[in-house]
Amino acid sequence: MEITQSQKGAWAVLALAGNLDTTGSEQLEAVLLPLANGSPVALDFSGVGYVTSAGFRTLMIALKQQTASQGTLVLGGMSAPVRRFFDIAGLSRVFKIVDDLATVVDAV
Amino acid sequence: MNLSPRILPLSNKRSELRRLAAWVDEFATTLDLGEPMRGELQVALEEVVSNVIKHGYRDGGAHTFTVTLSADADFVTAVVTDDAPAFDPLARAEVDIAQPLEDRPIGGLGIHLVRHLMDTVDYERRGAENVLTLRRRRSAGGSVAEM
Repeated sequence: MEITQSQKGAWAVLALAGNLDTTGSEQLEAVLLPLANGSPVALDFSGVGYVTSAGFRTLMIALKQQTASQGTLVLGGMSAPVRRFFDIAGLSRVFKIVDDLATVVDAV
Repeated sequence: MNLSPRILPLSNKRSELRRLAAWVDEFATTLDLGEPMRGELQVALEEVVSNVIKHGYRDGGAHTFTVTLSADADFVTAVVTDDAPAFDPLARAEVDIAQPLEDRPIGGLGIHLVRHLMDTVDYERRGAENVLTLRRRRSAGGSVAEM
């Protein structure tokens, strides 16, 4: 997985390209968990092909960290197949998912 | 398009998941499987295989197990066969996805995904082997050119 980090105002934006499987989620965890300390984080899913339970586990750990430190985690740019993995996992309402991250990140 | 069975032997090491993903991808390309089927097959197989690697063998030793992929006009079939102690992953209780996040066990989601992504999932203890068979109908995601 390729992870490109940028800063937009207060937001740390991670653009993900690849798959959030066991291998990809280990890479994401190393970058995401240190960032998820209360400041807002946005994940751009437009380059993601699929998500396994290993990926969901990483995202849930990041969300728990953010919730504990009053931070925000937003996911956006998902393809329909990727969104379906979140639906099946029952996590579409657990995470804040937006169609277009720009509407959230640029508004700040 | 029919595709006779292809067999991938794997050892019980986490690093094998990369090799599995590359192999499934090659199979999907050969069959011209489109999305969402390619991703669904990848997810289902990673869940099942990582389960075997992490929890299947309890003696700490090196073992080999296999994944077989085949296809006929209607279905893609994946079979995971290991000689670990008998374990039926389907016997586990369904994950309650309506539970609040804090109350949910983080494990258990894998087999939940497998059940819902595949059309059928069957477990069988055959002699000294666990045999898990996953089938996914091709019509929903398959290439129109093959129909």
